[in-house]
Amino acid sequence: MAETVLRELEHVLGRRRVLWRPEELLTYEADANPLERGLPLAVVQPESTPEVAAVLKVLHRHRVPYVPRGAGTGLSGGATPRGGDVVISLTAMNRVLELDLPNQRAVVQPGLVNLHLTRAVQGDGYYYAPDPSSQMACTLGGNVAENAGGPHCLKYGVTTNHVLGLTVVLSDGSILRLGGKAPDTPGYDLVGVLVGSEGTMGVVTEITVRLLRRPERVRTCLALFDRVEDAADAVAGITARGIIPAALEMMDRVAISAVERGTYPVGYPSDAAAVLIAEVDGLAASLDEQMERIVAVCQENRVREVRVAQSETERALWWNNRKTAFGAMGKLAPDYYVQDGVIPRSRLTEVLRGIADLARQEGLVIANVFHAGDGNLHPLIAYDRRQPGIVPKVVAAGSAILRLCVEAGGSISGEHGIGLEKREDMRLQFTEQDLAAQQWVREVFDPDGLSNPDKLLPTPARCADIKSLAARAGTEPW
Amino acid sequence: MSGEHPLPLSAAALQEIDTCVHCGLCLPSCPTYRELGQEPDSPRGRIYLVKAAHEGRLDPGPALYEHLDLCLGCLACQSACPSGVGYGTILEEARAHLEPERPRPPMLGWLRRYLLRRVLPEPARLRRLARLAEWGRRLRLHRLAAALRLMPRHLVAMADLIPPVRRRAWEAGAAGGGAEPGPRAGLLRGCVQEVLFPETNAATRRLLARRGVAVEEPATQTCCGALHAHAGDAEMARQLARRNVGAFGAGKADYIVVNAAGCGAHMKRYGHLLHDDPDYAVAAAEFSRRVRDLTELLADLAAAGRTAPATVAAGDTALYQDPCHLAHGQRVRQPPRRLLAGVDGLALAELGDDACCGSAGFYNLTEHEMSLRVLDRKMQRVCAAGARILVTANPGCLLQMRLGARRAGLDLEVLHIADLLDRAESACEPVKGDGQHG
Repeated sequence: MAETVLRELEHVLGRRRVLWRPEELLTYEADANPLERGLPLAVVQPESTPEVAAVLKVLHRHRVPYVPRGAGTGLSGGATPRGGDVVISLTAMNRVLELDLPNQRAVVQPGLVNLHLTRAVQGDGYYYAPDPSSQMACTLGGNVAENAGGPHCLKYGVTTNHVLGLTVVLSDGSILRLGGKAPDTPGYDLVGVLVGSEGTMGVVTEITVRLLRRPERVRTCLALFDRVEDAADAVAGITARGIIPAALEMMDRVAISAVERGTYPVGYPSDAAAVLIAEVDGLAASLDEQMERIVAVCQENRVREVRVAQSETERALWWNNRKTAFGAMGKLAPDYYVQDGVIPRSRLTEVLRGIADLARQEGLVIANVFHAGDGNLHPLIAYDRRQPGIVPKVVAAGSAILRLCVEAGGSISGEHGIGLEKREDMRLQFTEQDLAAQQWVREVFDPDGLSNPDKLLPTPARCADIKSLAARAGTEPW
Repeated sequence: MSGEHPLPLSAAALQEIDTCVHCGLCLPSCPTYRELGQEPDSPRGRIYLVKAAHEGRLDPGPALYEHLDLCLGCLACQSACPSGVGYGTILEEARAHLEPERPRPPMLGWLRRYLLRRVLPEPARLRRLARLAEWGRRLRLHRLAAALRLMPRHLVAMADLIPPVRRRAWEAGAAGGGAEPGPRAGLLRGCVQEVLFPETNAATRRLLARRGVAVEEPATQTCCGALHAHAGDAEMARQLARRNVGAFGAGKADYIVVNAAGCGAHMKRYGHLLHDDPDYAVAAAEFSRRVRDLTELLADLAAAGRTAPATVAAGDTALYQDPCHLAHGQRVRQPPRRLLAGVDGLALAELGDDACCGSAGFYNLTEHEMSLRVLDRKMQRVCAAGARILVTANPGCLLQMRLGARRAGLDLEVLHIADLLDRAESACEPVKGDGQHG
């Protein structure tokens, strides 16, 4: 059957855009989370919505599951094949289809790199606000799938707040147009359902996004603390004073040691316990005063040193340093495993202490890089997979961290998605009933379970199992 | 290193592979990934394939080298990488191991070996061959070859752009002068540079002399060996490195100055190349520490107060294109821009993108289709920048950009930065009777 599928795919796309040679498939066996791998049957590279529809029709006819993939920078294994499936690589669909600057809208293809959209409009004074740290490489399609965030989402909101409309191809090849160009459309918010669905409902082929005006000015400061608790208190203090920073980022000592050995060293002292980056933007007149208040809060919280960026070059260096922190983990160990927990800001100190205790007990190196303003933690466990028995230990520590987050009243994912990695951890946060409801919604869009199966929801949550579970619980939903 | 591995790699290369965390931030910087959007032709994908071959998961045959062949070796991924993975080290080692196994048509294999081993290291032989090619060109044999489909068309176009080859080497005479005696610099003449662009070497000598630098040119110097290393001929690369380390021996000159970015990047790695050679390890490391790109040295001299006035017709606009092996290979980006900014009357334009031009050593011969795709994409940006002069700092880029300008129908003067600076400085000097400075 595999031969037939390949032949039909080549018939649709031509031979150059269907990859099936073993070495080609090998490079698609994992995304940026190499903990799990799977060899796909083929990788296809469509260039338009009709081509995606034609591909999905072939796969539907043969009941072959598929995995949509952007740049493969995802951290939860969302684009990892399960084996024998077909990867729909959207990298060739990377154009801006329509720019409507007076109305601050753009229609783009999913393979467009996040930062390239901003580059296309910045000359006119606009930008696309959600800025995942991988924005120089990750695609907007991937951002939609994961409902990606970023440092500046504290003030401006995550991907779902910036997507107005979507074109989606469903598993049977039918094409849906959801939402539109207006800020709100009547009926169910299906755009909201699709954003963050991790490719489990079909393939998004066009995205209508909101563009924002560049703020008149930006001011950024950097604060070094001798105790993580002080940095956490400063975060709480800043937000308590009614300041809404554009971004409020924190890195701990281990993370600092990695970035300082990476490509963009700032020159942080190696004995600093935490560094905080706070940025405010808006009308120039109001910024100096806001910055003064932030500096004052830091000083009240025993800051060692606080510095305001004196130039765009200095600011860019601080951000490059921060945004390449995950990649710089390679300086600590060959592999890293990142968590993406969310906690209430007020519990920051306590959860960080819990993570530090865990690291000590398990003998693991854990760096913390996080969007402190919205309580989105990224503990990074550095390890070497060749060390015997280390992988299960690392995965268990990851789950333990997520449990800490949920117990503190938070969530297991802020922006990286659940993917393959954290499916079982969904149970930490949701009941079987909650999960069943999510599965029903999924099946409305993908009744045959071909679109990125095994991702997002825990395994037994197949339709039949759920129905029997629900029946046993006496809560038959239909 | 272990004999059990189908693709053995040194500890240094394995260390680089281990530093890659598969994050993918390198992808958009890669010219071939930009063209194809396919993982096997991206830096992350290539590292993954080399690793798989080393681990025995992939046969180290065509499946591997075809993707490595398509790599330009531009090292843009090294600039993009947050962990600073030394991709170049991985690539060179993998190529060196694969090279002996590769089937090639006998004629092509012979030609390749002859060029690498017998021609490039021998300036006189290279010149004779170039002169022969010059006659062929005058007789339009290259056009005949193209008509008979013995030669791809773009090479014919490129052959037309090569300046006439002179019969004898440029006379190494001192020029300029007047400045306080300063540091001593050994000049690497380069193989291709000296034969095809001797005027650029002459301009380099004048620029240094105007700043009081004593230029020395050891007669025993040879080709730097970069092309050999990139082509997987590690042994010849080491031989050439040893000859140059000997020629520019310790204590002779304060700096070793190079005006070809590819050569400079490679010579800065002699220390790595010869690290396991007991007789040369120390001297090679010391040699590498003294290597400076011409622009780097001129900028340092300027900072120390050694400059010369330079002027062009007011309103002339120059676009500086970063040679990959200067920007990524040596991380030298600002010095050339500072030098150009110091030229009175010259306005600077920026490309806003430092992607490779597609020249990449032999690449435009071996992978000409991809080379031209990369070049044409680059020329779109050059067109948009709208400058009259394009300045670069490497002979390969120079020829490739001239080809690009012709393909794009642009009236663009493509110059080596040494030639532009020398011309601008000559314009400030009192006119001399002999017209030596042209």
